[in-house]
Amino acid sequence: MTIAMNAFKEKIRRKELYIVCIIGILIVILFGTGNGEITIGGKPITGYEMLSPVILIVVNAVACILTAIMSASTIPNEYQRHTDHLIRIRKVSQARYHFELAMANFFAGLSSLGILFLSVVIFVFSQGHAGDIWKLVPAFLMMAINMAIVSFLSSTLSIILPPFLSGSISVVITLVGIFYSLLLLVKDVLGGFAGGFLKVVLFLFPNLHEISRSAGEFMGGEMADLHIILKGLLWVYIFAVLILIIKRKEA
Amino acid sequence: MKKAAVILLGVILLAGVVLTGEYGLSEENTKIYESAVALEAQVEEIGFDTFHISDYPVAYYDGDKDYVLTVEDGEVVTAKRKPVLNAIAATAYPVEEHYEVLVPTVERMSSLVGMASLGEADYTEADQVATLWHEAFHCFQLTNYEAQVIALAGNGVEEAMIASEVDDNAAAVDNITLQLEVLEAAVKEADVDKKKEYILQYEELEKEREVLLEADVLQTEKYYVTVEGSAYYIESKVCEIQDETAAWIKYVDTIGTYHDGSAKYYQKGMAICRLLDELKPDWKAEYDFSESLETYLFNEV
Repeated sequence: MTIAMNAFKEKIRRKELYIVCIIGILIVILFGTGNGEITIGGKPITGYEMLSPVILIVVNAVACILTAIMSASTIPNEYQRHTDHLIRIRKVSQARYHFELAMANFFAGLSSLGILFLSVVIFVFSQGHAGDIWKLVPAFLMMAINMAIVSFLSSTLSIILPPFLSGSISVVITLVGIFYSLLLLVKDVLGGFAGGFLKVVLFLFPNLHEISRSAGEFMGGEMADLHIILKGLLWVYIFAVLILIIKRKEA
Repeated sequence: MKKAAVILLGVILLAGVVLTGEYGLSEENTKIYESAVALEAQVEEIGFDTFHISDYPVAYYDGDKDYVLTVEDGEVVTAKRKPVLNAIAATAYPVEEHYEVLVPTVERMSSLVGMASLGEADYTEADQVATLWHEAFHCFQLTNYEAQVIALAGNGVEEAMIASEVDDNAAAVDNITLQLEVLEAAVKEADVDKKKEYILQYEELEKEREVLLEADVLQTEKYYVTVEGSAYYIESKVCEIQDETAAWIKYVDTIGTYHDGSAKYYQKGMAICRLLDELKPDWKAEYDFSESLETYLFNEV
């Protein structure tokens, strides 16, 4: 894990994580202080029970998109700087090299999620639900699965595509995953060819919404959905295997 | 060895996903169907003697498959098939030589209603029961009075026409708003003579309407009032059987509220059916959809 840790430390030194901090603070201001008001259908969304699933969905969406963007450049940058050569002369296989860089992306994603989760911690305290604070640990671990999916997906694409292209495709797939439930409904309403096409797209893409929804339900007192967790882990597995299998030409 | 461990991990995860998944139709949907069928005796008392929900298969669409529920020898039987419509819709639909009720599963309907109303509206099991009866009534209409229903549709029914020809026509909107208010007052009025006065007012407003709108628009309105309005009436009565107060608030207290689109005609048709119930209690025994509900009301009352 030396390669992963070094790549991760480098990411910390760069500015992406500071952006995450700022967004996290904005979320705290929006949800936690009561100065910002969210309305759905003209009705204000207030109160712990109504806000906690919403804040988790927002945190999930922001963390997923930032992770997708941050993960797209790690592997191409390393090749651009020819550090791969230094690794290869130490007899490190390309598969392991890619996998460790993908792990660095995952750690960066996890850090983003962690920073954003601070806003959830403040929110839980500010709403007077300190007794629920322990629930944030399983909720965080559940949502960490999404960070793994997105960072591994973006890493997989960045092995074969230039950073801009892999980043763009990753963000699109991430957005589909975040709005999965809505798109599922659109698919049903559309029917016909468009509905069939959307069905195929949704089958091929991971559902990033259901994990955050399930984490929100867990915070609200429901059981965590094992099926959703296992499905998420299966996606992580698929992308991890792809990282190990896919080779880069210039190596 | 490493490869085998990786493959084994994948197999374990896949097996976990498969084993923890829920497949097929949820119990909730079957229970809803059973609840709807259980109301048959009470719905029969409404007056359409030969109308039974169990005469028409109910197909739940879950996004991938249709689950067709029927009653055979007193037992609910479920069969899976490829979706005949492959889209979210609550409708009566011809399948082979008969009509079936096609509805999304309650889970799908609930997310659709929740999302369409941005979380403001809930869709309950009781709502789904009422929807099944609404669509079953369309099956009844089409099975027994298909020619009349087609005749009422005239040159074809297009909801878009309502938006362009009615909802954007200020005079037509004012007229129908008044009609709806008069109908709500008539339904709520206890005195029979006053009820009839309201109906006369309604008839006058209907005559004004005939001047305001083109013939094909008027025909479309008649179709909605008669075909959808009567099904909405059945839906409201089924709701009333389940919860009288909730049904009154949801259906009767909203008769006078104007809505864009076809909803206002549902309200009109339901109100007319309720007026007929009080002024001509045996009307369902002879009414055969050969004329619009409005014409029937004006002729008979």
